[in-house]
Amino acid sequence: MSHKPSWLIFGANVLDIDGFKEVDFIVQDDQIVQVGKMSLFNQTLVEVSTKIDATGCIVFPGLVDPHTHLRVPGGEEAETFISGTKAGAAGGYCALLAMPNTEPAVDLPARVLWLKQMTQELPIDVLSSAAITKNRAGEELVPFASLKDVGVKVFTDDGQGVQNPRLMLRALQYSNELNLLLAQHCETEELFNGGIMNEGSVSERLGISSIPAAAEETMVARDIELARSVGAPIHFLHLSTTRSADLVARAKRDGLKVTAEVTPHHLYLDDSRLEGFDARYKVNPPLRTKQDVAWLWEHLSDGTFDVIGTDHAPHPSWKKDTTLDQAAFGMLGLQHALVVLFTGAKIAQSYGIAPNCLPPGIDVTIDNLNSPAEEKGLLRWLWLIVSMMSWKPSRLIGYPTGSSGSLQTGSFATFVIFDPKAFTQATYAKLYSKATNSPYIGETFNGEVRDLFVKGRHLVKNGRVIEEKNWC
Amino acid sequence: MNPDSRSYLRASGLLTTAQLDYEDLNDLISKAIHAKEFGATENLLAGTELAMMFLESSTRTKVSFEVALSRLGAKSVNFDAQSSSFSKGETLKDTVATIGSYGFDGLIVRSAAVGAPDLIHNWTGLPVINAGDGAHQHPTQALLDLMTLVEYFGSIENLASLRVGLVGDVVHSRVARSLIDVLLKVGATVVLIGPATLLPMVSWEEKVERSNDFDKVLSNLDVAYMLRLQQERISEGLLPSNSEYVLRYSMTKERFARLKDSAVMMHPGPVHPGMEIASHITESTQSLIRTQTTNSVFVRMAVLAEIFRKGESLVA
Repeated sequence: MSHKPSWLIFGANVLDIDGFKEVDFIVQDDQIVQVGKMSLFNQTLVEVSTKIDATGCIVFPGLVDPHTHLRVPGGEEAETFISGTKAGAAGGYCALLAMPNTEPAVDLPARVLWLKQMTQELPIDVLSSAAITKNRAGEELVPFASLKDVGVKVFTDDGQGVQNPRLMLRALQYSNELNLLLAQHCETEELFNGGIMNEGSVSERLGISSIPAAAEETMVARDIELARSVGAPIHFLHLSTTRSADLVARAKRDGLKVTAEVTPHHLYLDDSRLEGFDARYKVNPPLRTKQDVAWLWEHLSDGTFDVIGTDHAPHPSWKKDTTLDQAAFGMLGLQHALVVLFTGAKIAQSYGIAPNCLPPGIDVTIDNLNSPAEEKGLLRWLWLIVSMMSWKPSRLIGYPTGSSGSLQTGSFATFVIFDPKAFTQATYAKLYSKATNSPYIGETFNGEVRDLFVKGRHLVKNGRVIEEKNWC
Repeated sequence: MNPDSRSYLRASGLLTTAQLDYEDLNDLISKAIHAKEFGATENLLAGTELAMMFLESSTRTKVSFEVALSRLGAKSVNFDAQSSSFSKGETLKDTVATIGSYGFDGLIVRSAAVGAPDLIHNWTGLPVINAGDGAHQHPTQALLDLMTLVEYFGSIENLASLRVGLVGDVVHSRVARSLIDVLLKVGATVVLIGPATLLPMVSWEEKVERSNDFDKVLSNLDVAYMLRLQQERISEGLLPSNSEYVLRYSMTKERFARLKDSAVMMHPGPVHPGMEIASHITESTQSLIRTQTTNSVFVRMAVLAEIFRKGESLVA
């Protein structure tokens, strides 16, 4: 009989890759050791030291962010490994893919190894991506094979796109042979042209220099054709416009290995937020129109998008608390991503948009919730959102110990306890990021990331990060 | 003036024409015209001290505000952007906090940054008069243009039957954005005239007409308001050349002759001779350009008085 600390989680509905099931489970060390009905557990095998009542909650695999700007090295004024991973944990994340646009950029194996060494003691995993071009200058390729040898799978010049089409073509050819993934930040610089916000009726009324949707769409279209010619996969980061999503949908119908990311903020905020000149809403790609937001939900519904990435982009206050033309692009995302989307799904549902791409056999009938039809619809949305924030990004970025999407005996005890009936108030005081540039401050969202366990460690309790023993 | 508008004006200043309704416009313009004809209450703003923050160069607007302040007995202190601590790397917010700590009653702000006057008001809590922010707004310019039109056409009610053409670089013009708002409020018909690259693509499309052909719409206009054209528009690829602009959109002698006899021409200044307007016609009786500059002082007096007066009104 074991005397190690162990946990019994009971009363919850478990959401995983197979659907929903009403089960209790026991956690010991870093694993789930028994799953089933609490009354039938073999108590002689494991002595439960703590019981957690999760009645009314949904338990699902830990989230994986395929797009985090952790800012280290070079941007420690805005975020540190500790503050960034705490913000991630508070949002339900067990792993973050750090973007390489640091100072210096991650473009050499030594920088990847340094990052690995600096983050290995943290309670959630920090994975490294690398640039496509040296110093993200868009001129010469990085040593893809050497970077692969130190574990890098995803390559991106994120923050800007690879402008030169010939160089992008070569990058696709070279990396495809090594089974690597190129992730493009789609933006044609000459069309971007120093713009501040989305080009549309709001920018024209305010007289603010603007970024046309075509700045993004022209590069999406270009790279689809480059990838087609090579037969290589291509991943598009943070797509924000109606036409970008349409182009990806069509490429998928053509059978190309195209994948696409969408962010919580492009699914929740629109360009009218800029009317008060508040630079917290300045982000790149820019917040688009209300019509774009609705259309992005349609493309979530039909399966065009594969993953949800936060594009968490902390900045020190002096870079945001200024006029729109001077302010930096980017907003915080990790801590509130899930509740923003859960709230957004409710809005999408009210417009009659329902998730239509759930695999057959996903059973979202939850008897003990006794829920009306719209709540069942919302649970179907939650399943889709969680899949795009957990096992799908885990697979896409090649997270080695990542979530398979299953919560069963023998799985890592990495899971979120989500309370769909609770509310999350976004306030400055509760932010874990070192930076404060959250666009969500002052708003209340549906749902709460109540608890987070990562490999058996209890990192979040009642919505607050347990800092002792975990981050010291 | 609408009481809500007045209390907003006194707390926030004049940030945008959007905060003024028809009644407010009528009241401000009537007071400005009255002050022009009969003089203003002396020393109405004695003891008032304002900071002039001109972060972008200006001659006429700045001088006109200074004259208006001086006529009302108020004092102003100039904050010069060139010699400021910006050049030492201080942020705008810190600079503004410093200026705010000196106890001014309000600020007059010009900036190339859209929204700077709103942010400066938020940061200081003081009333701010927007003297032009980027391509967004220049509310006192719209008011002085409105005053000029009311004087010429006899009353604010008469403006409802006018067709006003705004000609040239509408999309980069804060004058156009403020003036369109004001003209629509008084019921005028607005026609935006220029090449597709210099006209807005989507906004105002329901209420505002647009044309790429000045020669075609010219003879139906009551007012031809010529906008300033900046040389950068050619290097930015928005226009092929100066001569092609002149060919299609300049107020040449020939086009001026085709205006209705009752029609007038305006320009916010400074005029770029030979580009927007042929040089010898600015002094014509059908040109209101000189009246616009004269009226700028009286309109600014009316605005300043409404925001900062303690008791008495600008006019008896």
